[in-house]
Amino acid sequence: MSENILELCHISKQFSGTEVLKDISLEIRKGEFITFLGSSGCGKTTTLRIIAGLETPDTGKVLLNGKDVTDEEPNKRDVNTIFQNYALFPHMNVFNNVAYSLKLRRVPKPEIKKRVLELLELVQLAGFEKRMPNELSGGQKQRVAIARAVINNPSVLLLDEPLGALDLQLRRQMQQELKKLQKQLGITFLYITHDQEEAINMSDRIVVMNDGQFEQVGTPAEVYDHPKTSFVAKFVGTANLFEGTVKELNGEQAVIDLGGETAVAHTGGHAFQPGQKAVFCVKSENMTVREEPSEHFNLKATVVENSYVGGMIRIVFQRPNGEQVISTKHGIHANVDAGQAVYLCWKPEAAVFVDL
Amino acid sequence: MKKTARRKKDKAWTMAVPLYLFTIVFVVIPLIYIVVLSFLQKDVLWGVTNQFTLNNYAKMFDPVYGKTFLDSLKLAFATTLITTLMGYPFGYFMARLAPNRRNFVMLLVVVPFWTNALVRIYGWMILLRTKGVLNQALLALGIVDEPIKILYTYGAVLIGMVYSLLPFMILPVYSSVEKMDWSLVEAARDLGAGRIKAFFTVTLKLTLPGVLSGFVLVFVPSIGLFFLADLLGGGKIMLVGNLIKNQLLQARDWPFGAALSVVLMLMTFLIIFLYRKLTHSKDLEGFF
Repeated sequence: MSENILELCHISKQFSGTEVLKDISLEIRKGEFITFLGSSGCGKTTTLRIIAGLETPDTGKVLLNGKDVTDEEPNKRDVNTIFQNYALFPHMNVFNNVAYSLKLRRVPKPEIKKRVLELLELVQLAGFEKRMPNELSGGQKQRVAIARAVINNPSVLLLDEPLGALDLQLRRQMQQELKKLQKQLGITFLYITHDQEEAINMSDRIVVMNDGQFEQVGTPAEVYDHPKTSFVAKFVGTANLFEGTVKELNGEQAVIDLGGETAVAHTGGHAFQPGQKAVFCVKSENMTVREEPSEHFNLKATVVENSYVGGMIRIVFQRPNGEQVISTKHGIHANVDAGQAVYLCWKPEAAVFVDL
Repeated sequence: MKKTARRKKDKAWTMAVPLYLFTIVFVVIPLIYIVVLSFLQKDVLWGVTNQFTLNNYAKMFDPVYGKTFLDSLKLAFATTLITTLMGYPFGYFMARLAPNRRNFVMLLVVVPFWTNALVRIYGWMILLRTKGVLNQALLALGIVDEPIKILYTYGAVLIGMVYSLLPFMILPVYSSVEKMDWSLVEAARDLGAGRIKAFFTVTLKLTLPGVLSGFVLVFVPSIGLFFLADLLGGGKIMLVGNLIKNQLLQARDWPFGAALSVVLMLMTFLIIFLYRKLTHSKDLEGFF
């Protein structure tokens, strides 16, 4: 018996000839908060629907608690879902919505009442039992959806962009509450979002998805600081990608020829040979701007624009070859003006090589 | 500010005046005429005397007329029940078809309306005759040994009713199923409901408004479709509609015909009132 509560084995899925999922595999541990991060159409919702049993994969298996449930009906799976639009039953009040699955299982009435009221208390909706869904605000609907989905204590709770429709402040608050709830209930959460900040805030592990494949699976820090692919680098945080040829190697440091200019980057364990092509990324916050050249290396650039983005300054540069570079820093003053010629550099550790 | 707003409102009201006039002239006045007529006394030929009487209503308590009302109601209920049982699955599956096929099926449902209803009923008479298409088919298939009598029976009237009114059940059911948010059914399945349970606890309840408006659209006309009973029932089956027609055209008792019409109208209002009460109740949980 493995510790994995959920396993996806080589799952593929096509919709009318289009490959939506391309041979994905993943193991999810009990009690984990795992997030699928990707832009719309990357296949993350399809993955979730396959786990829920609302879609059948073309190939591959879904193991839940070590048991093959690939062909099991959704109502037979010990998995519950919070849908993107909440999908609250509009003809039932809050109490009956939450009690729905207990009624189906013919739980005695007094016990249903006790459990529903307890759970409504937990999601801070005590006293709302008689309300109809259309009499609730977005945040309240969200809480009802949560209560309805966790009342059965599922092995895995699937959350399909549950906070997408809420405003920023409420979203932050609900993030905290969901995280707290997950700890309290000890249920494995499988969360879907396109918001990288949300993914980083909440998850134990992040699965970055692109075009039906997993680009990288790792902790938020791994995914943010050590992106494996250029897609991950660009999708999580704001990253500048540089493509060049390895010129020489000095121990851990590699000197890269960027077409006339050179830059220094940390190899990070990659075994490079001089003359090899390489791509690395530098996060915008690690980009240093100087008016005078430094002694290590310098990339010439011209300031295109700078804008204040709330607590931070975002500066866009253009290199002589036309490529744009973005730098962000705390503060309210950019100290450089549009049109000004500057030098860009970074600490060698700040540059991370990604797969070609 | 307030004054201009009110003036604008007044103007909007004047826009509706033609509509009000039309309604008053063609609906309200005739209706009042019928109600007044129902309290007057019959005179020779088509005439009416200006004497107030309740006799026209008292007459309805005669068991003969009571039976007519009861028969009409029974037939209307039977028609509504059968059209619901046939129309719901039809409308449901039609709404779940791919859009291009859906339009084709919709066309099939609507095509009969392009022909006069009377002509279509004559078509049924040809089908149901003792030597008609249906009997010949049954004989050829060996299902029956000798032709069965279908035309001019209660069954024939019921067939005609169901045939004529089925689209009025299919279309509202279709439109309510088409509007269904299927993620609700997925949510029900996800929460542990099998396909059938999910249908009865979610789909059926959410499409109930469509079924209820189908009820009204079928039930109300089915009480009054007199030509169906005349043609397919061979004049042997007397419904309220036939009774009213006979009073007006044959017995020449306009006041009694008017009284029957008023009662029929009140029954219809009652049905519509019940319908509105049902559809406006908030929580359908526990209903059905």
